[in-house]
Amino acid sequence: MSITMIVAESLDCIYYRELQSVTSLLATKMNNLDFSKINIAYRKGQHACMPSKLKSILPSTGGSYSTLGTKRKRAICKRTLINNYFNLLSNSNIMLVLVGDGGVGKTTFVKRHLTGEFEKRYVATLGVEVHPLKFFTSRGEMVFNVWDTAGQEKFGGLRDGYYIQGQCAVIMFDVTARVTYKNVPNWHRDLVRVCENIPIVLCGNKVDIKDRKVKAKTITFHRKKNLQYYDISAKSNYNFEKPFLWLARKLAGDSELEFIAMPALQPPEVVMDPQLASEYERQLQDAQNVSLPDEADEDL
Amino acid sequence: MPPKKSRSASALSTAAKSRSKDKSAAKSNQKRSSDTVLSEESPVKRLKTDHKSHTSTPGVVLTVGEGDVGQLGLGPDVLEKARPALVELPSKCIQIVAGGMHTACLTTEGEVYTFGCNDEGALGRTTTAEGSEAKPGKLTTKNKFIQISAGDSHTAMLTSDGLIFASGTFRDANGSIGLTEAGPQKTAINLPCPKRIMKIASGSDHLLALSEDGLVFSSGCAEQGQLGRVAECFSNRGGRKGLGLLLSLKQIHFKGTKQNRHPKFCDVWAGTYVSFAKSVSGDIYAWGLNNYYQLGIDDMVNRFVPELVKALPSDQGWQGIAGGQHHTVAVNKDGEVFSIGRGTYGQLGLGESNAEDAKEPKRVSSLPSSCLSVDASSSVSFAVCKDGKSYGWGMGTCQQLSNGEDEDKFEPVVMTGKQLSDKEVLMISSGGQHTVLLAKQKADVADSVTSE
Repeated sequence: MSITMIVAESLDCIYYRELQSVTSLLATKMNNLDFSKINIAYRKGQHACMPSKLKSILPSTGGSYSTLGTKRKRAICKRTLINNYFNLLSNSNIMLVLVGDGGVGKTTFVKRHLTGEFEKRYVATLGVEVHPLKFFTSRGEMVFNVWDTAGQEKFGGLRDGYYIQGQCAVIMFDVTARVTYKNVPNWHRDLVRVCENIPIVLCGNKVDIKDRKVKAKTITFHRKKNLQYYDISAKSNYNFEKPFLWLARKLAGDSELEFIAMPALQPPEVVMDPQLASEYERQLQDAQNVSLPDEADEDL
Repeated sequence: MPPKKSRSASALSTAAKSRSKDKSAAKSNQKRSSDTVLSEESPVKRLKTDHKSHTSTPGVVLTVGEGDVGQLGLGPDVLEKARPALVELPSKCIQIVAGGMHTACLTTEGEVYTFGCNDEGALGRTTTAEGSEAKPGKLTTKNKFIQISAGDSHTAMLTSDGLIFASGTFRDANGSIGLTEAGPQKTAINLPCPKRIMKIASGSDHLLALSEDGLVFSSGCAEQGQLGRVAECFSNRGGRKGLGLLLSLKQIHFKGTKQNRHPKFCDVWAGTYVSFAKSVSGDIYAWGLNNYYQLGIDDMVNRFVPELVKALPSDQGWQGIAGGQHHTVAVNKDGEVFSIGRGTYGQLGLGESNAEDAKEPKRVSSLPSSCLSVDASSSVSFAVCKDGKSYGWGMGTCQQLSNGEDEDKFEPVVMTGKQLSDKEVLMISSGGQHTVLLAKQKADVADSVTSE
């Protein structure tokens, strides 16, 4: 296997050095890879481009760095880019940032995954718990390192250090207390400010609760910002894998990617009524077909 | 203070005294007096309570921004408005407040209309009918109200007798904690308080009440220190003392200055996670979340008890303070606006080159007119000015700023729209994703001036 990386001149030499360290890391991580076959080309005056083979397994996020402005942003993105290369080539460890207001069920959600709960570790400096959630995909094993905030969201938003290195994100709110939807635009802005255009999924949790009033059509934010939306129910495992599957497809740049085995989950605490589930799915489908209100407005 | 009111206050204190006959020690006396709480049935002589924050100028209600959960009050099909739209109400309003995801309007008759998210009872009325959340609905109560306030999931109302009614719930990092120990309330109930209240103010998940004799009471979530009376070790659901510690209106104790050991207060304001109080001598005390210096104290340490804010000196005569999620705006007696805290999305209004976090109050110099009142929420700030216009700045994602764009504005931008073109803005209140305005026709400007 031979890999060629061509990087742009506009990205400074630190970048080049980082690439070198990445390749050596790659070599140690992947025993079967012959280090001598990894070539790094440093080409002046061109934007970064990858050979088509690499491109197909690189995340769509890889293309964003050429537009970066500030030094800090460039630094962040460099790191993200490196991580993307590194992780995707070395049996993918993907950083997933999980955000949302307090009490929406973020921790319940990640704890459903049994191996992730068993292997979790605590990062003291950031005050986060990292759950490695393993999924077996048609492209091999993929590990989502889910960062759970350990209640820091009570300060309304998180420090940027938390978002740096995030490669994909899930924003969660509680459909039975839609006041938790209030901060969704803020979470989204904080994420895209630091992580640029990483794939983001919006999840409405607790859909198992019967007296849920929200209609799928009333949630429009994801459509305006091109996010993916899923109804989920952590307690009944309903749609648990959906956000991960969508993110995995986006990151791998392969819309055909499938999970070949379901992860071991905790048994459901409540049972999602299949009729209710299909009703929600139908509503969601209907909502997608309704066009968003346009600019024409008599109050202009 | 009019003599009428002082008489009522003294009548009140004698009533409290007579009830606590066997007051041997000062401590037991205090305990006893907190038992004699005012409630609907209290046989206390009722006189109208008064505070300068009570408004009386009638106007129409306009809403702008996102309306996903019906907080615009324009019916279930209007999910957003880029420019202010008129909300149809049966009578004119004297006060409007925007909660996190809902809106409450106080009419000239003292009735309250609510619309928006009712998942936790914030509207104080039943909304079982499809789409009824998204249209203004009247609260059924025999009380007449003179002031309202709203947080993320609660609405509070003040009667002319100085009693507080509220519905909904408070939330903390783990979800709902209830409005009182009895849990969330779908309809408005009386919140017992030992004193007659003249002003109420709501943060996201806490409620402040200012009594007629200048004491400050608080209830709600204590996690960020916003109650000012609960130590950090009890801030998570009251610790071993239980939720009752948080969810009943209890007095905040202030550590006074050398000149004034027991300050009395004449105004209170609540931001998302912060609280401010102004003493009779003009000093500003603050408590709550301080992770972006939003209290005006430059150490980023949250305050669980009130602290005198030296950065907001009393000689400025602060007329109003409003707190967003991570920033604070304040207006002084000369109508100058100052902002402090986080500036990432322009919420400080100091210009794009000046979007760094502000450790100390900085003047928003680009406001074209003298400011009358300010409001702030999430990452946006607003000012109502003497020229009858309102200005907004900060994060534009939700089209709250009503300038026709969804871009961030780093300096005040005038709010425009067809509805505003012939109206004068009286009041502005911003919620999580929407903004509510109270405005009156420009034509009757002259009439109201002569009547005043």
